[in-house]
Amino acid sequence: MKLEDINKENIFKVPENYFKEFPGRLDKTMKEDKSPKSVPVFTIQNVLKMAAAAVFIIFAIVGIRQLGNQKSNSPLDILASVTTEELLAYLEDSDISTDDLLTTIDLSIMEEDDSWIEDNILLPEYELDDESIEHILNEYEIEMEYL
Amino acid sequence: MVIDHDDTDDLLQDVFIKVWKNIDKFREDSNLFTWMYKIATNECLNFLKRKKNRFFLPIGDAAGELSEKLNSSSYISGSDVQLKLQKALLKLPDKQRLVFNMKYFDDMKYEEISKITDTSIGGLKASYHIAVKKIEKYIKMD
Repeated sequence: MKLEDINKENIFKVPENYFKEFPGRLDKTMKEDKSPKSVPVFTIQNVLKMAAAAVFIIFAIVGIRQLGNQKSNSPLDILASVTTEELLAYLEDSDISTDDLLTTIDLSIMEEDDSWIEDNILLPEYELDDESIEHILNEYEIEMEYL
Repeated sequence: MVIDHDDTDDLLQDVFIKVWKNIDKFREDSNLFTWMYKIATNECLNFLKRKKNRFFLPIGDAAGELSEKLNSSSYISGSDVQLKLQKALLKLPDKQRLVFNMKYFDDMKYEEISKITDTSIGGLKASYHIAVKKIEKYIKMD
């Protein structure tokens, strides 16, 4: 069977007076149309609010990072983060003389408490005999009055 | 296109509401009939797409559901061959069915259909020709 053999016919019907009543129903629907209007996300006010929030967040992040950095920038923190090896390497390569070091170090703490020297400087494995000490003192030209 | 009377009624109201709300966007370089028909076809195709998405229906199932309505709706009455033709139409992709309906049932010219669907006349002729072949094949099969 070909398409031409079929009578062209509209089989879809509408209720009686459908088109007569349709304008009235449409009018009623439009008046009752209380569907919430879609609010565009990118209004000027919304963009400004989002920009303000973004600026606040950026400042907050920068502020927190700076606070963190300030803490880590304190001399004590920096010194604490330097390893002994790094410190020794720095001192060897620097122009700081032994005299400078000895005049800078506060030796009073050592005078008050000998145990501090034992704990922090004279580790048992590095205990030296008198001859070795004398040799070091001569090599580094340290005068006895500093000790 | 949507078979069911209530769906058609809702869709027709939606189309007129859309026309009313967007009348200021109507450019007079096209005629009002073409502009309104374009809105109607877009609404119709979107409605069918939403319906399939809402119920996660594969194309075959959606066609099957509409085909059931052809048998059960009180607003549809036609001979067996007419119903068979409508069932054959439901086997077509929505856009192809739309083109077929506009050409076959509404007797529209390809030039008019082209303006409404933004499709080339050559493309429309090919689509209609393929649709006719599919329909005839379906009718012969059953």
